[in-house]
Amino acid sequence: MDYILKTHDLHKSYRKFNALNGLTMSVPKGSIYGLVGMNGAGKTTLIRIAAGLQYPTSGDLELFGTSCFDDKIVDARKRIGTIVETPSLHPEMTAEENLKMQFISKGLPNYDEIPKLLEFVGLKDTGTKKAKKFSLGMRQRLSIAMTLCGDPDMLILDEPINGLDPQGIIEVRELILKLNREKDVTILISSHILDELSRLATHYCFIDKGVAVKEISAAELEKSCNKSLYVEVKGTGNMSVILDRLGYEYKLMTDRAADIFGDVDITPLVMELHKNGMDISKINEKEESLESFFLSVVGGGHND
Amino acid sequence: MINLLRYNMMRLKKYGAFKISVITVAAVGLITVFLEKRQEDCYTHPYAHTYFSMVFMLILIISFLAGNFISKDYVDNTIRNKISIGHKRLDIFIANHITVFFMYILIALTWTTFYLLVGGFVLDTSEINKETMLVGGAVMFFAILAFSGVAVLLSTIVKNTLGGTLPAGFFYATLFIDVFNELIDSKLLNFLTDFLPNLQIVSLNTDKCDDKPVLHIVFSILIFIASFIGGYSIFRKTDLN
Repeated sequence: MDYILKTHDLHKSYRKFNALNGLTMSVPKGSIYGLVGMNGAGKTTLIRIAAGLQYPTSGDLELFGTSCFDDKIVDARKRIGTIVETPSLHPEMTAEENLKMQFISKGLPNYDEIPKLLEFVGLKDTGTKKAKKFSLGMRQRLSIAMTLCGDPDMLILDEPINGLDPQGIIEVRELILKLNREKDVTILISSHILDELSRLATHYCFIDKGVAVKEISAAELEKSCNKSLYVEVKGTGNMSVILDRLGYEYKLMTDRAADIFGDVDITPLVMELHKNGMDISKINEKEESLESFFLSVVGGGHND
Repeated sequence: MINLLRYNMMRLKKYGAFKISVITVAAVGLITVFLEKRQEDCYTHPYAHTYFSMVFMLILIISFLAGNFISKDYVDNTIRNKISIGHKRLDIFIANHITVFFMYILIALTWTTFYLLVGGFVLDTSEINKETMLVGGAVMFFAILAFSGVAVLLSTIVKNTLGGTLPAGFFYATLFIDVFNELIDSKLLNFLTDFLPNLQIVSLNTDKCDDKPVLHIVFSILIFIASFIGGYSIFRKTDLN
């Protein structure tokens, strides 16, 4: 598998505080890679190192196969677009002028793409309004537009939906999915909004105290997030006898209710329970959420 | 590098205070010529004195504007836009130096054009000592180079609005050395009067030819080199947010 970004035992220390403690992770090419971790886990520090704003204390980071200590890393960075925490805009300039500055900085020859980018992020009608008068959501949208200048191969987005309204969140999500599917752009995204991340990411990295405690694909995560069928019955029969006979793995909540794990064939189950004097009063599918999985990984135990 | 210079020039175009300064200097130059013309029959104008006095004041003002130009990149965090898209830190640093030097030179040239050159057509310049002006001009040029180096160094080290005002504050505060030098006979103070670029220009205000131009130019070049090396060695390893 090709990896766009890799870290090897990455350490970053600030005087007495260790932000990264041997972080090792790999972002596959073409993935939407979600960075998940609590505040202070090291997500933004990692992104700053990837963007070239800071250097590791030890260890290495590779971008497109180039080490961050190699002079050629600047060529690799020309292929990425980055948002780090808060938007970096010229407050005295309009949205169009800010994009023009980015075009100039990147050496892009003409500005024809600017109106399209502004329309894409919903800022085409800002006119002469200066960026200092923008709302947080507008500044965030402009930042996203700036990362898209020059058709990057990879986007590194640190909390990109901060400050966006629900419509904006949907638009950014669709944009990310579109870029990934149609242009094969690899995306590294960190977000506290796990529900939103779960709709996007193809891979996850759970970071805690500067260490990657788990890397997992979305498919593997789905298997790991224990799905179960909650069944509640009324009647006189013994539920556990039936479930044992059918060979299901289960957990009794009460003598009339159970969580049944794995793939459950509902029709035979219902018929067997009915044959033995029990009728279903309640049945629903349950799934461990990304939040609970995250807590189980970083909040007290490692989920191997 | 060329993209960074274009970027900085675009920022400079938007820098209202600097544009106003350039226009004001041009206006002051013309007004000064006009006022001197009106009094031409009364006394012989100390051309060099007027010219270099004004240059000194302008340089202090531009130190403030130049410092703020550099520090604003940190305050607004727009410097990370340059680094994250692949510009080398050395290129960014050199581009900043070139831009700041350009700011100083543009102001000095504007003053020179509107006072010296226009005045040359309008006023009686027969008593101007050309050697004084040329030697003083050369010393001034390299002093400006040193000014720009120190301005970039200070605003790079102190990456906030204070860093923007530090260059002007530093040059203003060190003026007192010249005052103390008048009162106390000290080798250190004499040395600093020759060494510091702001005090070199102050000494040009006397209408007399600079008697140590080579020494002053060498000091200015050394200051520039030291501030460049010092500034870059700090900037290349600085953790940015």
